[in-house]
Amino acid sequence: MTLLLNQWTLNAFYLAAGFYVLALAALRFERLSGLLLALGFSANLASVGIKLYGSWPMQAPHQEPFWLVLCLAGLGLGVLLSGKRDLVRGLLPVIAFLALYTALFPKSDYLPFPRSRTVFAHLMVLLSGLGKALFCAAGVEAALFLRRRKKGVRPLRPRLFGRLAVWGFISFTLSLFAADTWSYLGWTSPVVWREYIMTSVMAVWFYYGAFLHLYLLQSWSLGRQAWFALAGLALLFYFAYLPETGQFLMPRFLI
Amino acid sequence: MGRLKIHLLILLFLVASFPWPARGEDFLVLGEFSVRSLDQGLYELTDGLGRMLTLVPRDREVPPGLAPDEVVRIPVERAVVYSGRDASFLDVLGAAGAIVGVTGHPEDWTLPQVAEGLASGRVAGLGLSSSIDLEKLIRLKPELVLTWDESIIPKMSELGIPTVITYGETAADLETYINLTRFLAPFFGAQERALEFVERSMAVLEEVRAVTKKADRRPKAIWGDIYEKRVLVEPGHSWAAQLIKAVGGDYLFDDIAGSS
Amino acid sequence: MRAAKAIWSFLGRADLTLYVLLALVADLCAGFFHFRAEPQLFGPLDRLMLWDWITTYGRFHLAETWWFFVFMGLMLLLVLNTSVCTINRVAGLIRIRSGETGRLDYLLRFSPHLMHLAFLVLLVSMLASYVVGVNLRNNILSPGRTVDLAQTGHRLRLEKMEVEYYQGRRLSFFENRAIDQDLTLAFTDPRGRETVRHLGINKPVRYRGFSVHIKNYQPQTRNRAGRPGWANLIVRKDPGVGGFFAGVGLFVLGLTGYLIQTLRKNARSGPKEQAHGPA
Repeated sequence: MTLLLNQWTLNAFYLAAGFYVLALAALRFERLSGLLLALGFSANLASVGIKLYGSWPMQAPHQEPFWLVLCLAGLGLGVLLSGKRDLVRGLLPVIAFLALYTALFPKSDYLPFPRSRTVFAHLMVLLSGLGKALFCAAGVEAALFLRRRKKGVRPLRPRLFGRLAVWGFISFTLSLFAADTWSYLGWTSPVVWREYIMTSVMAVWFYYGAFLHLYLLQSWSLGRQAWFALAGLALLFYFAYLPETGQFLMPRFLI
Repeated sequence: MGRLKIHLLILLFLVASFPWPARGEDFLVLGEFSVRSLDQGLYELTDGLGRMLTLVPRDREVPPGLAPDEVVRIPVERAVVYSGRDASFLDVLGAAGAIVGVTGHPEDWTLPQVAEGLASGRVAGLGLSSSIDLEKLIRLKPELVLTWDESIIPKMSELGIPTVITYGETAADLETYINLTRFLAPFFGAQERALEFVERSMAVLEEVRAVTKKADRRPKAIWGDIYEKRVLVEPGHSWAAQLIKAVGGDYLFDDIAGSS
Repeated sequence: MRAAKAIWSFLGRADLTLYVLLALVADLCAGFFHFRAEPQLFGPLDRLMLWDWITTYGRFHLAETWWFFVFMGLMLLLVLNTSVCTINRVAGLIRIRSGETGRLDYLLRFSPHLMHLAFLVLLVSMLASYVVGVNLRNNILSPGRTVDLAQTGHRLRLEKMEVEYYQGRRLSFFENRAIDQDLTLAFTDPRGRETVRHLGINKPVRYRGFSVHIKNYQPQTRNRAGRPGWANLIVRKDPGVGGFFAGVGLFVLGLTGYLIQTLRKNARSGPKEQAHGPA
């Protein structure tokens, strides 16, 4: 049963990644692209749903990349509905790339364990995925801002990348608090020195904490703030996303 | 200039107030294990469970405040050993003669000194590790028990017998595994032998790696236990996985981390 | 006096916050590589007090642990910077109390400072956790056995162990495996009065400032259920943990205040921003 569920989790995610890539390919056909994004989101939702079904009431480790892509796609759909089409066009390559990378390099061999049987473990994954998705969206919007400025076009939404980063910071902070609570309940202390990834998580928090200060104090120009938000993508990818992925796994349907 | 001087003074103060290691002080970290050299030939050890033990030479006084099961008199002359691995380490250290009791089926023991000792009665068989013969163990008057089984600690504490957990909570890598001899060495005054063994083993490993590096084919391999409903594998950082890689294998669960 | 003023003004600079935060990012990124390469050097921070760690793992392996010392130094600087900034700005806010805005808007302007205060509370509590307190690990008990609570005269006895095994087909890898524990603990105070508490996985027990947690246990599978059971318990007296979660609560309060403030501001300035175009 578990093996079957695990395979279905991956199959559903392969499907999601396929839809995301197709959505990117069909970028010129706005409606079709939007529909494919929605289908990708549904398959992605099914993938995390099956995984949860196969773990509940526990949470399997290293699920965050799947949730991150889901949150990004959800954001993309939200943005699409609000009419910010250029932002969706900017988000789609990121969604497709992260989905493909997650599909090909999953860390899906770990079984859930009794200590993950708490609402805080689930909250941590959801809020962290959402926070990072918002940081990604902030980076993409910042890139759009810079591109428009370079072309000499007046930016449409000069403060949006800042707002996205601030919402990301809020979600990410709450995910850390959920992690602290879980850590205390399961391992006696809010901070446990077991996983090296804790250093990079702190680095990401301080980075966006610095951005929050820039945003609130407006001591830097918007252009420099945008560069800062854009640079955050590299930090996120290398230090907060890659450690949650595994080694190359050839999809079974290709073997 | 004045400000620079103040900054330099602050820096100097910070550097001077740091507890730099003194000459002769040593603190060895071997995976989850550690060995700290103290004055007068004493050692402070951390075992695989994170418990601290103090090794005290027989002619020295035991530092105050330590419970009997926290102190090991060295060199150890009577030890009970649970695993073949630890018995082999003792053999490497030239201390297999100190083994007075072992667990498990007697016929499973292949180490000559233990197998012969069991046959002659010099080494006592204490039964299976899950249900050892405590009466027999007490009669052996061991000075040390080397085990993986944390459940016996309360009973051993009650008896005042120091117990060392020789397996960590996460899988030890190959280097740590070989270096575990250096963790056990102070118990038997065999530090030089341990160092020789480590150097020899590492050199052999390098030789093997040099040969296997040239291999055209890397056979896929896993190391683990297959049960009806689950497969438990050794993580990629474990000594088993690293050994497979060293001999030219492609370890399939290289990206898995965790315990053995 | 002039020097004190200069130091105060230096520590209160907003750009100092930015530089310290960026330095922390760089330091933690370096720490990421060192931690990944040598996790065994940092794991002992879970069982040792800070000073014990510094005088052993920390100072003997400076090539791998330097970033941790830099981290502590930067955190100290951040604490000082945050404290001075908060004092300056809160004092400023109190001075301009009579504002053109309403009482709620005025109160909401304290939100970022509440977050700063919460951040300080969190850090000081963390420090307290690592500097003072009790962290007794490996209290291995089988039913009926007793352990002293840090020589306080209070004792802890494991009365009973009840294992909850997973039953069902959905989580086949968990069939007949322990999914939770119900340990009945009896605490006895020096006068002999007994208090009974139930301990489980993720359900620590609190008693007279101590907290008791499960580290390990047996049986973990039903086929070992016939063998004698035991639990390895961690007994802690952590004076920082209460403050830590109070800090979390304060931070969330500040965050909520900030959100309300932002939403109210947006509601007011949204049309204006559009009318004026981008900055």
